[in-house]
Amino acid sequence: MKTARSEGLVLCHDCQLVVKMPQQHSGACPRCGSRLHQRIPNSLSRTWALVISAWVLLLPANLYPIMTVIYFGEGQPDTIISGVIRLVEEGMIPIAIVVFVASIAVPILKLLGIMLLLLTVHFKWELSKTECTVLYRIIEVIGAWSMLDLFMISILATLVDLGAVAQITAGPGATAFATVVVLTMLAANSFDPRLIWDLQEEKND
Amino acid sequence: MLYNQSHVVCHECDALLARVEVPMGKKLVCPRCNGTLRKPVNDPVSRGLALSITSLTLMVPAYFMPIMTFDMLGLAAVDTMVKGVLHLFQSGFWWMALLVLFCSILAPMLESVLVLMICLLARSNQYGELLVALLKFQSRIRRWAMLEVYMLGILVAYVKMIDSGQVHMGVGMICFSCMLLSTTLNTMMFNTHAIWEKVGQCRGELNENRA
Repeated sequence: MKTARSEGLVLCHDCQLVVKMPQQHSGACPRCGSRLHQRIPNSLSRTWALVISAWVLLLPANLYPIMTVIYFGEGQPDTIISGVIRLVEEGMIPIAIVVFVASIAVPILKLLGIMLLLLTVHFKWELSKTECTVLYRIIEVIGAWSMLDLFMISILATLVDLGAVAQITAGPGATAFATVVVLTMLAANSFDPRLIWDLQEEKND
Repeated sequence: MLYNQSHVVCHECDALLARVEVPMGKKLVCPRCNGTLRKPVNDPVSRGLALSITSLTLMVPAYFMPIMTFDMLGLAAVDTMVKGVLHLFQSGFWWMALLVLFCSILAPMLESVLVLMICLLARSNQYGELLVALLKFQSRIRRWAMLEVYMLGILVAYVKMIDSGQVHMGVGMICFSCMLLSTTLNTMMFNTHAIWEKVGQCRGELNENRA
């Protein structure tokens, strides 16, 4: 299969123009003026940095309470996990599943998925390129859904603001969790899926 | 420039393909990685114009009118999208407040404003620097608009509170649902390939004139 790179061409990442790669290492797109790059610069190290930061912040995000429900002056701080367990105990199984998927499963699976892609490129593992690309697309799409918990806290804190009777406040875990979501989204964006397909080209050479 | 007329490159796997005309309603799929390369829509400019005006009109009530009210022992509290952000700011969670502000209010609003401006410029044939800057900005901001996730957040919050007191959906909820529908359609259908090509044609003509 011919690729743009093997033919000395480059795709502008902003306006999708196919351009002949300039002699000097970088150049500007004649149509939109953006800098031209064969691949996202430093894609692997940038993605690694964001993934590692996200793992580190997952700890405070899960250890500190993200939300405190106070009824008549008595507060119950909840972490992400204890919140899910409480929902199960109260019999709200469908909601518990939604919150579990959005706040626990998605961030962790997403980080593991990006790491699998990074390791595949690093160690030239012979995984199916098509499946890796599908994994990349899934990671890109599901990222935003982790914001669910944060939107819910913002709604609940405003809705249940009845002074001494009932109150819901956010907790420090939410700040950490918000940062995790942003970092995983940035990590997915900085990974260049073309690196997976480059492995195939290298093998053929 | 010549390559763009004869070839298409897949943005996900870098495959170089011969360019073919894609009929309306069909899409061009990369044979190597199955990524969608082109999906032409009928008259994207008029559609973008209509949908972004609809979205922007609905945004005002969706953000400021009550999404839900909560009653408990005669006390009541009202939730609007803007209040949700302000509440977080006031309780000191400014980072979280900024994020919720950006992803649920600013990014969707900016996206609609950008699509509106792009369509207006394209309609009046002004394919200049301004349009190029707006197109780039629009493609970067798109992924941060998360209204569909916010919708799920509202539903989960509603179900959670339903046993603790009386929860009522407000007018804001109706406007929000309609706004979600029009922004989603706008994101799905707005397609910049055709506009970029016009930009290229105008630039090409400029260069020829200079030469």
